[in-house]
Parts: sequence; structure tokens; C-alpha cells
Amino acid sequence: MLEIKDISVQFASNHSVQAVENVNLCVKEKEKVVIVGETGSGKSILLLAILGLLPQNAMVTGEVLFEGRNLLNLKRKEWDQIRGKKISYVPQGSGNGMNPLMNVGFQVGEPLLEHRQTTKKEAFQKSIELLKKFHIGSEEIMAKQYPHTYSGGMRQRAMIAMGISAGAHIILADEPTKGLDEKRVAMVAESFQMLEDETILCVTHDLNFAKKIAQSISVMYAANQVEYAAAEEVLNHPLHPYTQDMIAAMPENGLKVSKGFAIPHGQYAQGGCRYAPRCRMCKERCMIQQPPMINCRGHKVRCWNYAD
Amino acid sequence: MHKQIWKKIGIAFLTIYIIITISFILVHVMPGDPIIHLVGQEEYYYLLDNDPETLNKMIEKYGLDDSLSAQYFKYLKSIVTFDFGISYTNQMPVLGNVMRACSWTLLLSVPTWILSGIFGAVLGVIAGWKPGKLFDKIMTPIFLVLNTIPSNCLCLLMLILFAYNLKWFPINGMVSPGKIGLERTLSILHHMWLPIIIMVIFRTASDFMLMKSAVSQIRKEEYILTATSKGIPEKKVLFRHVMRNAMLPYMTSFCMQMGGLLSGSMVVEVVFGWKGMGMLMYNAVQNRDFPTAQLCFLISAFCVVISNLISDMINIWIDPRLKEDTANE
Amino acid sequence: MNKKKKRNLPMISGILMISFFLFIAVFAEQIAPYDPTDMMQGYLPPSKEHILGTNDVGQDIFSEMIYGTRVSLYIGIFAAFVVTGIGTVMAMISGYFGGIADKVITAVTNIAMAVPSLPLTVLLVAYLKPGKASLIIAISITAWTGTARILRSRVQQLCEMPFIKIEKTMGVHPFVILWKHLLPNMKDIIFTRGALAVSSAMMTESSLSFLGLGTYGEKSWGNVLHYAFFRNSIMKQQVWWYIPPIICISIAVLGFMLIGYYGQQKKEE
Repeated sequence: MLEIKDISVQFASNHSVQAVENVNLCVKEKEKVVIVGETGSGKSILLLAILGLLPQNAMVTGEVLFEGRNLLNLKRKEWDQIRGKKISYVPQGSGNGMNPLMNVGFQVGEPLLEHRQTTKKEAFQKSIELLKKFHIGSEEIMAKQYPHTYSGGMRQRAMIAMGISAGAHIILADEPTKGLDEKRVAMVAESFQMLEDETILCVTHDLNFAKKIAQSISVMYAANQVEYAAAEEVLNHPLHPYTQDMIAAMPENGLKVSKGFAIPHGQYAQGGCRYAPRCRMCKERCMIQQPPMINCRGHKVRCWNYAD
Repeated sequence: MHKQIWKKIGIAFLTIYIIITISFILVHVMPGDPIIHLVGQEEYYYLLDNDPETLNKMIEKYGLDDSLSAQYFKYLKSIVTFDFGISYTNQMPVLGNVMRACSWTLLLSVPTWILSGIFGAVLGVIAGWKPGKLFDKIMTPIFLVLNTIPSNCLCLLMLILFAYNLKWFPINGMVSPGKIGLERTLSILHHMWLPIIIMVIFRTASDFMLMKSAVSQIRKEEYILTATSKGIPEKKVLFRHVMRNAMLPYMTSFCMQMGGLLSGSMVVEVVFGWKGMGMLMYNAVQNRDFPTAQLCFLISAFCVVISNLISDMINIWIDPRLKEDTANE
Repeated sequence: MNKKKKRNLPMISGILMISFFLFIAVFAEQIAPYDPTDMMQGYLPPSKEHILGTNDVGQDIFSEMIYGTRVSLYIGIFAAFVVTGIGTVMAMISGYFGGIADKVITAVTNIAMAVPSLPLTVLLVAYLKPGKASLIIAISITAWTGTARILRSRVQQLCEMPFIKIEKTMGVHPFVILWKHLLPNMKDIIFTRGALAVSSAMMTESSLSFLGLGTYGEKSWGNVLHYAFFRNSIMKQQVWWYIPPIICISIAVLGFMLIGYYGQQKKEE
């Protein structure tokens, strides 16, 4: 349904940082794909790149195929017919994703106003229904309230409602659990689970959350896609050393932190595998040559250890 | 919400009261005999030499022999009853003089205020929405430089260029003599042009900077990205989302500029011989006509306080976040 | 490296402009060909003897400008010191201690902001004894509010930082925290505000002097412009009289503004 081919993003300013490198994803209809990675791994930028929302100084190469068209070549007017109508974006609930001067009801219904040519009243009514669907609570009143009166979790759920309000079937969600406590994460996860008919591409740093909603998982590290497979595969039989380290560091696995997780910006070896300097299975080859995406019985991994 | 508004009104009145007190202190606590400040230096020595009787009457009238507190209450009373005394320059009630000057000043400053508010907003939005584009690259340095030229310098330069060299506008004054009716109105309009143009250029420069920075900041906000991601056309994003948020700081500053309507054009008025508030105060200070100067000061201050109050109220009205704060209080 | 230099070009040019004027101010005696109070033949056009001619009472305008640099810069910089000093102290007290001190200072700031500055300044100049000191007082009396407001929020921000909180709980004397930790962390913004304060003080000074309310005896650029305007130099087309002060004031104000404005921008990046 949505095919992402060799997407690379480069920022023209600050000595041309490579933010995303050759990412490939294939999202089938109704599939839930989760991209996991640490802060700064380029996952959110990838999401924005798919929707063409990056600022002017970003150079995006590759292809995003949707309904037989490459989205990256679209003009603003053509984009406006796709964004919100067919593909929608769900921003972080903890952030400033809603206009502080407009009530939530209007903002949730705004895509309807734009794409379904409804009246303001109808859109508002529809958004109350949607808010009900996501259990905001006392929806008639809350719809008239402004975003700052919402808690982070409520805002996140309202924004999911906003994403599907005009009937978009592909939802791109950016870090929906950032800044939320466990209970709220569970509620947000529940909201995502309700979207059975929608196709979801979600970005998160939270493996637990990924576990709850993902059918496929792609792991990103330092602008690179290092692993891509079905969710159970990745979670139960991780192949890439980075994924293994990450899963080992999860609380229920005993917080085994093998090495620091902070990305040393610009320090990773040029030409070699990005994870090589910190990899416990690092070989000479890893330092010199960047591994390609290797297909191990449908389980894609970017690591020399599986070259054979 | 009401509570907050009442609080603001209360603070505004308190501020006015304090300003009144300050102006009292200025006269009575400053070094030198207060009667000198009240009468004026030359007048004082003149009266001292030729007419000590009048001087004594003056001292009595202003109650300068009384204790400071008695004088203070007398002063407060005179303000409440709008009795501001007689001007020393033309022997007319100060209040009438000031009111006449006020209307002349407003004739200049209100059109300036509105025009530059509109120009600044429109140009600022265009430059801020597409920063780094040609329009921004041309307009920003121009307005930055205009913002730095002191008003008296720009005034003189414009005067030299348009009035002396090009002779498009009259050099000085408000109306040509001997004109009545419609001709008089037209003549006033003709005289207004140059001072208004100068003031508009000035104000537009600062309004432009404010609007540009507001828009260029807001367009980077996450909710603008969200709006774009909903498939809303660029123009609607700009008008519905960006403008609404940018108007918040802009309206605040726009309302606060109302406070400068009376006092902000002193230099321009002096250069063009426009007999408004600034000119009146300038002459009053030059001629040591302190009752007039004091009233000018009080009225200007009153104007500032009221406009600050209005801008606060408008802010509360537009910004839902401020309403919420009161509920928590 | 090259890129960085390019970005700071406005600031460097600002510094160059100001250094130029500072140099003139310091070496005024050596540069000026005449004593600016000496009276010779009046209304002379520019010539070899008098580069910019003479004014109505026969003083050499070029020498007046040279000495005027000194007066204008002195008042501008001195007033800016007062403004920034008061603003910083007020901000630190209200931002750091909070409570009643904060409330009182905020109230004072708000009231001072409500006072129309030019009329008050004009009134004060009239009441006070004419001279540089009263001009500086009059300029500074309402100008500190902006600095105080901006710095106060910065102090409050800093006070939320862990290293200040730790110091506080350790019982370090407030004065030590303020002096050793808060002040160094604010020096950039104080410097920026200071540079902007100089430019606005110079603008106010030039307006006041232009109106004839400025310093007595010593002439600043504004005073030169005052005499030029009120002695009808414009009508008489004496370009050499009214243009130099306009240029000098504008360039000096622009110089300080560039330093302040681009210093600020660098900070925001």
C-alpha cells in the first residue's frame, strides 16, 4: 500500500548531516509497522520525509510509492489532496501539536472541513463522536476546551482522532508515548489497537509500546535501518547486535546495559558499520565496509555477521 | 476571568494614583523653592523684584506655606475637580489649552497608528512567512536601518528632501492662513502629509520587525506542521493558524502603542511646528510654564496606563490560556 | 571558520564603527583643529581653514563635531551603564529571592513602564539643574524597565537549573551565588542589552539635545543639530552644518544596535 524505497535525507546546513540513509519499508494494507530507535536516530525525520513535511533545506532522495505515484515529486496542491485525506500524521501529544488558540473539537474536525466539505457544525459533531470513541470523557464539554486543558495522554488520543477524522487509512504517528507514564501509554496503545482497519506506521523509542501494537518492526540506528522483520521475529530472535543490546536493556530483561546508548555524533566510523565502534561482535570488516541489508529468511538485517 | 479583569483595573487606578503622586513629588521635593518650579524662574525673579504681593498671593494660592501633607491633599483635590490652574504663557485655563493641543496631536497620531499597524502587519507577515526570500532580504535591512535612525534625523532628512528640495509639501505649520471651510480642511490635510509619512515610516519599521519575528517563530511551531499535515492549503494555514497566533503579540503591542498617541510625536511636532501636545509641552518646559507641563505629563501617563489596561484585557479575551490561569487562582 | 566570520560581519562592522568614534572621543584635543568654543567669523562655508565651515557664532563646526563625539558617547555609555546596572540588580533581586521582593520590584517595573518616557524625561530635565548628570538621570529613569524584565526571566530560568538549586540547598550565601554563578551565566545577555541600551540612550540624548533640553556649555551632536535647525541652516542650504551631526548620530546608534542585535541573534541560534 505504501512503499518506501531507498529514502535518504540530508540537511543542507550544518556541514550536510546525513539524517536518514537508504531506508526501505513496505507497508501492506492494515499492517502495523513500528520503527524503533533512539533519539536522534532519524526516525522522526523519516516520517516527516514520507509526508513531504521537512523544511526547505532538507534534501530527500528515493521514492515513496503510493497509489502508483511517487509522493516525493508532488506539488503542494497535490499533497493537500493526500495529506489528512488518505495519509495522516499524528504528532506527539506531549508537544505543541495543537494550536493553543483553537478548541480541540474544531481541530479534530478540521480535516473533515477541508476534505469532505462539511459545515463547521457537522465537523464539530463528528469530532465529538470521535473523541467519544477514544474515551476522552465528558466529550461535549471537552471538545469546546483548548489543548492546554488536556493532559498529555488525552491530547495524544485526541490527535489520533484528528488523524482518522477525514477517513485517512494510513496513519503516521510520531512518538505517541513520549513523556507519558505507564498507565497513559497503555491507554494510547489501546487507542491504536482500536484502529484495526487502518494502516499504521508508528515511530517510537519504547519497545514495550512497540510490542503491543506492532506487526512488523524496523530498527533504526544512527540514520540507518539496521533490522526489519515481523514483530515476533525482532522481539524474540533479534539478529542485529544493536537490537539484541536494546532488548537486553529492557527493564523486564534485567536492565543489562552492555554499552552506553548515547550516539556519539559524527564519531561513528566513516565507511564502516555505524554500530561498529560499540558493537561487541565487531570484526575488522565492520570498521571498513558498511554492511548491506542482508535477507535471512525474510528477516532483514544490516550486519556482516549474517553475510553468509 | 472577571476577577482578573477587576484586578487589572485596580492596578491601573493604583498606577495612575502613583503617577499623580510622582508628579507632585517632582515639584515639591526637587531642589529649589517649589514656587520657582510653579511660577517659572524668570517670572519668579520678576515678581520678586516688582510685585512681591502677587508672589505672596501665589504662595497662598498654592498653599505652599501649608504642611506638605496638606499641600498634597489640596493637589489631589485639584486633580479630581479638574482644576489645573492657569497657563503662564497665555493666561488661559490649562485644561482648555491641553485639550486643544490633544486634538491636533490625535489628528496626526491616530492615522499614523492605524496605517502603520496595517502596513507593518502585512509586510511583516509576507517577510516572516517566507524568510530568506527576496522580499525578506530587501525589506528587513531597510526597516532595520530605519529603526536605527533617530527620529529627529529622519525628520530633518525628509523635511529637506520633500519640503525644501522637491517642494511637495509645506515646510511648517498646520494650516495656511486665511483659509476657511473646505479650503481650510484641505490645507490641513496638505500640511499633515509629511509628518504623517515620517511617523508612519517609523512605526511601520518597528511593527514590521515585531510581526516578522512573530510569524517566523510561529511558522516553526509544531501545530503549524500539524495543520499542514491535515492537507490544509498554504493560504489557509497562514490565515487560520499562523496569523491567529501571531496577532496575539501584535495586538498587544498595537494596543500599547495607543498609549503613545499623545506623547509619541514630540520631535515631529517641534520640527514641523505642529501645535499639538508635544509642542505644547516643549514650549511649556522652555517657558517654565509648569502647570501646563505637568498636565501634559499627567494626561500622557493616563493614556499609557489605559492603553496598557486595554491590551491586557484583549489578551485575556483572545488567549484561552490566560483565562485558565484565573480559574486556578 | 570562514562561515563563522561571515555570519558575524554585521557585529564586526558595528565594533569598527564604535571604535572609530571612541578613538575620536579619546583624542579629541589632538584631532580638533580649533577649540570648539572659540568664536571667529560666523556662517563661513567649508574651506581649507574650516573643513565644515563655522556656525552662527563663528565656532568651527568640525571641531564641534569632534568634541561632540566625546559628549554624546559619554552620555550614551554612562546612561547605558546606569540602565543596565539598575536593570541587572533589580532583575537579580526579584528573580532570585522571589516573594515580596519580586512583587514589589515587578510592581515598580510595571509602573515605571506606564510612565511615558519622553515627557517625563523632558519634565525632569526641566526640573533638574542642567548638565550631563541630570541628562543621564533623566534618560535612565524609565529606560531600565525593559532590561529588568528580560533579565528577570533569565534569572528565574537559571534558578531552575540544577547547579543553582544545589548551591541553594547547600546553603551557599545568596550573594556568592548571585555574583559567582548567576552573573557569569548572564554576561552575554547583559552585554547585548547594554549595547542596545547605549544606542537607545544616544537616541534619547540626541532627541533631547535637539529639542534644546540637553547639556549646557558642552555641545553634543544633538546640540549641533539643534543650532543648525533653529538657526535655519536648512533654509540657507548649509549642508555642511546639518548633515554631519545626522550622519554621526545615525552611524553611532547603528553601530551599537548592530552589536546588540547580532549578539542577540548569535545567542538564539
